[in-house]
Amino acid sequence: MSSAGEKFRIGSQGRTLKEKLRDLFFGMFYYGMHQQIMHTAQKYRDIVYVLIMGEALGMPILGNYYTLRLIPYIVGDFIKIKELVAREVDVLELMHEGHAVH
Amino acid sequence: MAIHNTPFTLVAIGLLIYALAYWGYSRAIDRKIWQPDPARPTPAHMYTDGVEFFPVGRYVLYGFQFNSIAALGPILGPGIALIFGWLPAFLWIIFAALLIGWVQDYSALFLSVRNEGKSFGPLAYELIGPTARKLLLGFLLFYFLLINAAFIFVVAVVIDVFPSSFWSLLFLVVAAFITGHLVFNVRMNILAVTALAIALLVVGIVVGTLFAWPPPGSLTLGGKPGSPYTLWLVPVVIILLLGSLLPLPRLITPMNYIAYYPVIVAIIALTVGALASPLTGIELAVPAFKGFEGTFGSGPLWPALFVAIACGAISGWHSLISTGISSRQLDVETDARPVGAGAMLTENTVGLTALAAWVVLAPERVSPVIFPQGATKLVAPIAGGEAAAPFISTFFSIYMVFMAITILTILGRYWRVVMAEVFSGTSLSILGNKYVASVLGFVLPIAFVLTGSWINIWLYFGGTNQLLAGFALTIVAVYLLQQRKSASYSLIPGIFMMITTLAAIAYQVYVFTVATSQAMLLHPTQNILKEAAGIGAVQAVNGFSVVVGVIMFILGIAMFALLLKALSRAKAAAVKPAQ
Repeated sequence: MSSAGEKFRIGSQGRTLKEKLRDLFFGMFYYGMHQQIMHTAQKYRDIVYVLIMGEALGMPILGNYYTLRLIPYIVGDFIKIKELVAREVDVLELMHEGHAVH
Repeated sequence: MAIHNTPFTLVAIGLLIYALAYWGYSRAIDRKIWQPDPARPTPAHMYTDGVEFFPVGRYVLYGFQFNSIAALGPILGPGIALIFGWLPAFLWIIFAALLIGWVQDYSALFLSVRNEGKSFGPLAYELIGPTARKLLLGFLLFYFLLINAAFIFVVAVVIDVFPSSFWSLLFLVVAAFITGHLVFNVRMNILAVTALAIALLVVGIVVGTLFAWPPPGSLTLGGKPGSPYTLWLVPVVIILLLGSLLPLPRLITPMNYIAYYPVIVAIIALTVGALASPLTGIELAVPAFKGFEGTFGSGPLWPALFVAIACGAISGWHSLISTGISSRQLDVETDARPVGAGAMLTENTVGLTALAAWVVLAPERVSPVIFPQGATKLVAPIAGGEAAAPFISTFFSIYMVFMAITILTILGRYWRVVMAEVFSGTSLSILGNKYVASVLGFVLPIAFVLTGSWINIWLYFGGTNQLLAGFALTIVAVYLLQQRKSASYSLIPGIFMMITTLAAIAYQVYVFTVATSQAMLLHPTQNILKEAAGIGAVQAVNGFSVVVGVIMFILGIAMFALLLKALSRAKAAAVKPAQ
């Protein structure tokens, strides 16, 4: 994520007027779509994690041969994955998939 | 020409007051009440996950926050408020901008930042109780219904009077599909895709203007242009269902992205047009004050004015945005004021410039179609004169249609999500089904549209929106009292908004009840329904509005009572102030 952040200058604290305007226009036009892309990608990742590590995450999905082959690639991020997948999401949070309502 | 009689004066005075609100009052509240500490870690740093929680720069977040809150509300409200003259509308906008609007956005943002980035639902649950969250969900269902009704009404009448906007809308939909494909599947450079999408929009405006077919009113039942009883509703609802049901990246995400460009152009054009009015000779055409009484439909100045201009003054929806996303991405606490208060004051500016477009015409009847006409009158002299007027007129009409359509497609999804949440596990779980909920979300609002009365639908919507703002302001006050801090800057506006909006909803229930019980037409366009299906159908449509209004009122009163209880509990509580 940090590389994406650097690329899109999400964490930029503009100092000069030019930088401030660039950040402003980025936030105004692109950032919303960027955020939606990030959320969509995360949804797909969540599905993959649940399929691979469902049992470890508390879901009754038994591991199989392919799961065992894939585990070494994601086991390092297990705590973070668990936090993301098991996080309680309030229904009101699902209402941010778009810009203003009025 | 007297300069004081031009839109310039309104905008110039407004901007001065906004500067005072930002650099004066909001700074004082920031320092005295919330006391931001740049060293204190925000949720963005405490729970960084790269998706929900991560630090975002101040200007990026300000731009995003403004994008999230800028929409159709500030544009339409001032039109109805002109029933009382331009002065009350102007005073309410600047009064709210100074003392209420930014207070809600900024405080809700800070409340969430100080509470682990929690969104409005969990905050209501925690600070008020489980019943508050349930009431909030129920309230939101009806709120969505009313916004849908208000915006479907706008789309129907604007397309009916400006058929060019429908063809431009088709270009937007096509451009959105192409953009979505190029961005998400082909992974083309965003700048190239943006250039292509904007080119398509420009072509859409030109083609729409030149191919303004059929003539206004051709598809209207009864043949009178500007009526919501129009067959244009059929293709519009199809587009809305597509947007609601297709995956986000297919239509909604790219459509929102593209549609935002005309929004910014329109805001800039209106601001420049208003500031240049002493040079262009555009004067105020609406009387300053018409009286306190209003019409039977609107009711008296209090409470109608305070719910008519909603988002340009204060909007409850913003608290959902502030608490859900921005609070999780605030880099340092000191950014809360520029992001929360700054974005809201920019939104207030949109409301003010929209008022400038409304006041240059003096129509006999309030209708959403007056706005594109007024905006054209304001902007045409600085953008090509009479020759460009048809294109500018199309531009402002598609601006309204684009805004309404993008919002409606998202609302369709929100409605579906809340329906699924509310009805899951009950005997009515079928109502939470994706397709059933989507169809209901766009068909039920048609019942409101058939009332034909723009003012009443808008005042219902404004009432619920402002009531949500009252809830948010009072929840902030509960938190501040728990922390033994001064809460009056939030509590007084919160109580004022709740009492005012409940009164406004109650008055609208009264209007609909009178229309139903006395078999009265709420608006002359209801004659079409009367002739087609009899007075019983008119009564049924108006009666439906009574039922919804009564439910909204009961939910609002229940929430008000819970908040008062929570306030008294908070006063009695002895909590150590947050460090």
